[in-house]
Amino acid sequence: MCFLDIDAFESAAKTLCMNNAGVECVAVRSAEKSVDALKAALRRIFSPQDFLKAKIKKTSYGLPFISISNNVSDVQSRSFLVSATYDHCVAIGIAAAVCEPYCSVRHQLPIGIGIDLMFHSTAGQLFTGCSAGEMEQMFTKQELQEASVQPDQNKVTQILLAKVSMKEAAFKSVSEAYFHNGGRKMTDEELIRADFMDVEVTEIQPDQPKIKLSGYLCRVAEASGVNRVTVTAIKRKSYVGAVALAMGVRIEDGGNRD
Amino acid sequence: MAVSKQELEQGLYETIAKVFNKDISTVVPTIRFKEDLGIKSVHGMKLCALLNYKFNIKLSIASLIECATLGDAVNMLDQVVNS
Repeated sequence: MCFLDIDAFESAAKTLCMNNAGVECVAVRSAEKSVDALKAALRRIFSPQDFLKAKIKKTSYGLPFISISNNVSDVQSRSFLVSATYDHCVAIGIAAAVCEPYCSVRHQLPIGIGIDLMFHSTAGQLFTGCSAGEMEQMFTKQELQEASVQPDQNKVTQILLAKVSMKEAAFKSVSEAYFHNGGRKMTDEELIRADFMDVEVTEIQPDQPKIKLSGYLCRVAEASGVNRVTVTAIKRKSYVGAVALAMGVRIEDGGNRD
Repeated sequence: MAVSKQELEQGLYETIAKVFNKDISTVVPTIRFKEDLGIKSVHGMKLCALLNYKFNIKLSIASLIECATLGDAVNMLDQVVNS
């Protein structure tokens, strides 16, 4: 099994939650499927009895979510966020339990989480042979400008891959917020129309990425109670990864739409 | 101006060959995105970018990944480009 700094993913999630006492985050890797990694993460979040009552399901557009029977002891006070990623025979599942009464900042609760992992062996050649016009279909001018100042082509590729990973994680976090929180206001068609160009990742200060949403994804985020998306990249020699949190207000009757 | 289905097919196959580093002669309509190509969203992003640039359209990743096979994707492209 190849090396993966799983602790970096978990601590990234905790940092994004500003170590909020009401939020518990765990990340677990698995050599099997994404669902196995998610189950392992949930084992750490739930008590052994409650874990047996939690089921991992998928929305119609492939997003995992947790279905819990009503007799789980703490389900009334906690909401659960999950995300998973898989690449190169490595799966990571991440889960966050948000206990609203214990959260210090109630208007900035995590309402969606996203995770991504990309090994360079999978995506390292992604930009090879792409024209400037084609690159502009994947990245904004600001993103390309930030990468282009690097003198080394390998560094340029690494920066762009990290941006892709952060876009993916951000996209997943907003999608989860949409599913839990705002789905009734919109149709799935609007989420389907969103794409990676709707997420701009800028990193003016090193290791302090900022997410700016636009287009369809911005509309989805607004309708889902998301008021900001925070992200952290994990950059290693053989892979890049990212964890993103969609922060906002939990809508009581947002509802599970499946 | 309408683009023929043959041109769309050729354009898609060239793009698939480029993104997945395949010989274009091996790209056929029955190839499945998930099972045969193992498509990840990062590949979907590049595929969309190249197709959008080539055909001057605005295709989202989700609409591409919803297609099971390359043949389905040609039909979807036909609707998007020629509608």
